[in-house]
Amino acid sequence: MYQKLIGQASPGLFVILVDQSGSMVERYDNSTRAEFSALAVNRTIYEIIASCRKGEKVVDRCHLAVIGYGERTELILSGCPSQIENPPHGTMSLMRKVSDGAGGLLDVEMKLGVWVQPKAGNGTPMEAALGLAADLVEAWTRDNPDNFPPVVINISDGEPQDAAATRAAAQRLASYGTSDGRVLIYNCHIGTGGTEIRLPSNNNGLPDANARLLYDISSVIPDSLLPLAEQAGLSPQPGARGLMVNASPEALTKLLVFGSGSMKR
Amino acid sequence: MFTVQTFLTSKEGESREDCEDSIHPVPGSAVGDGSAGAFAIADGVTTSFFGGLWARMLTERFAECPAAVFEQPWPDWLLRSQEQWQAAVCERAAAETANFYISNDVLSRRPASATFVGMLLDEPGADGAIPWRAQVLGDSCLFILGKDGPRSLPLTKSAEFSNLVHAAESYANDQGFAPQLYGTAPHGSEPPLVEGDTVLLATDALSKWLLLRAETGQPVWGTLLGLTGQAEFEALVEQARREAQQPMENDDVTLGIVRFGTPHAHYSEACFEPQPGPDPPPREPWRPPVLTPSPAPKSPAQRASARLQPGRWRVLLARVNRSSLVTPVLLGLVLTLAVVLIWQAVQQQQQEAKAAELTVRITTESAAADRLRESLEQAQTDALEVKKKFDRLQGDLVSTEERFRSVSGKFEAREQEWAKQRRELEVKTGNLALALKESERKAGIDRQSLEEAQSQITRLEAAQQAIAANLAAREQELKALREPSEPAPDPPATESPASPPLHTP
Repeated sequence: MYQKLIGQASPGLFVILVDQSGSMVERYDNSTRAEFSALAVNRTIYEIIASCRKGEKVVDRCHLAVIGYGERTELILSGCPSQIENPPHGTMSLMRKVSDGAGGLLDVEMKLGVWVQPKAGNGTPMEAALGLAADLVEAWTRDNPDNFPPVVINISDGEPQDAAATRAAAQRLASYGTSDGRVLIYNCHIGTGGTEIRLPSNNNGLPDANARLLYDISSVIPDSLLPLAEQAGLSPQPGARGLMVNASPEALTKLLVFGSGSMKR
Repeated sequence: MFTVQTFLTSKEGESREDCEDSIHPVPGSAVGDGSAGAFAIADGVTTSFFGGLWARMLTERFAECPAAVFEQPWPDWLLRSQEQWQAAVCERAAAETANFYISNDVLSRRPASATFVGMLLDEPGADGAIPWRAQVLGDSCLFILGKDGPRSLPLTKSAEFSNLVHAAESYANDQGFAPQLYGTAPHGSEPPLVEGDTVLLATDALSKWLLLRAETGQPVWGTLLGLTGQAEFEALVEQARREAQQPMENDDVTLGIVRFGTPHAHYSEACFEPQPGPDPPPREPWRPPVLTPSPAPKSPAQRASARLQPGRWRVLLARVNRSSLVTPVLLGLVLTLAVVLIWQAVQQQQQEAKAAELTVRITTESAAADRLRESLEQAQTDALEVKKKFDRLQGDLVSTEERFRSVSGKFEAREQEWAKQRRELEVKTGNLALALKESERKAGIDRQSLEEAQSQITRLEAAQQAIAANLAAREQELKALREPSEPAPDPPATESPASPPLHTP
């Protein structure tokens, strides 16, 4: 299980859910949670498309969808790499340190596509977002029954407004899969207000009911994907779940790198 | 002595040009007899940057001089291909058609990665056995189908294949992976190749599948050994991908077969019996849901004109006319309100027109800034390129200086050696001259002694002749004294019979 290679003949599906509720305006790593999440998601989309590039052309090795939830629950982005390689909101410049090949670092200005813009308002309709993701995944798995299963990554900073409905929607989402395994659901609760917990393998140390809910709806990382988590800089124990609680910006970035890493096998 | 076949095919759903594996000899090339005795495969990592180009450069580099990969340190061997690859991607990033993905990847030095197997056969021994050596990096494998059973290097079990692959990278890297050397002594401890052996070079998907089949008691060596052409190879790969149990992964697949005579019989008998799973139902490729675009936000000027559309006013007035409260006072109020609204709308229109003008200016300025930024990026790329060239030249200069120093050192040492030898020769010459003079002097003395001896001999001979003459005279006198009583005897010989021949030294 979870062995199938992602390729043009057997594409993968990546769905990212982004919390756009009012609390996302709070400060987070020199910006706001909304801005940082949008940046991290844009980086992930960029990396996924970059790994679908074959020389000068792009190959449709996967499908991508981004769902925002807050004031509205909507599909912000959807398509194959060839359809979305030109970012709808242009590009932004980003300074990045790169190796100069001689042991030093160079500051270079790079361009990052803007597919998702930061947004914050209203409550946290996580159940609606998970429901929309479930609809998408249901259709996709029906059409791609033998591919690597879909990966769903949910980024949120708060409590779902309806815990019971959220649990039910997540269970429906988790019930879908392919012959290569069930849907993988990873959750990242971002925040700076408590002890950070990365990829827990039990719910003993979790701070509250909200964290326990996220633990319950997060997938156990399959053994075949544990090396990818290691490669992303995480140290998962066997049985670890794809969950971050009170995640720092670094932890959020690593979870996204790991979540989208199935592309790079 | 041995024959070679090479095959290559791409992932299902991708074209042959998209294949990121590479093999030497190239399939269909005119080296089918394998006279060069050198074979290589490389597998460009799919998600790396221009991985296929990198894999091809590695096998081409190997083909140019197969022994070099065994004689040079690995980073030195890679260096030329790395420079070649870097120049190629810089050229692509500088092309007008380049997008920001390529520019970013060049600026951030995103590498290409590839696994590699390079094998070289050496001269056969007296018994006909062929020694060999191979450099192997990553999960591309070398299979030796020997008399006593198959052997695979470096991975020996299907479970050893993982997502993390050791590979050669297109930028020099201190933490880079190096290949493992295998072969017969002194390179390793493998047996030499003998009649009946077969060598297979295979990239990861095929290697893993071959091991899986062997582990489950269903080896397929015979099918590989019976391949006669590319079409058969592609059919085999397609069937292997359709297997119900343990299908081959959908990846680029490369195979090299080197046969040493007729393969051992037990391999030829192990053939693939396809047991395909159900055919996938024909279906349209999945299309992600199409997003309904939100209506484009109107510009301030459009919004203002929408508010002032005459139609809207007519509707408003019609509503007012229908009202039962049509009185002059109300009409006055309505008119006053309308005037106020019109005034506000005009004010707002003016402000929005200004805003629109500002927006246009901002757009123009942004475009100019973008152009400048692009120029700056281009300049940065150029500067980076120049710096790389400078670094390369500096590296060349340093190595030239080192070579010069090394040659100078050797020259000085040689010169000192020569000077020493010259001095020794001079001493020897002097000694010989002295010895010659001494010899000449001695020879002079000897010559003088000889002349003296000769003159003495001459004198002695003269004296001897004189004595002989004297003796003869005496005998004649004696004869004369005796003559009255006896007849005179014959006169004696003048030469002395005892006189020996003279030899000059």
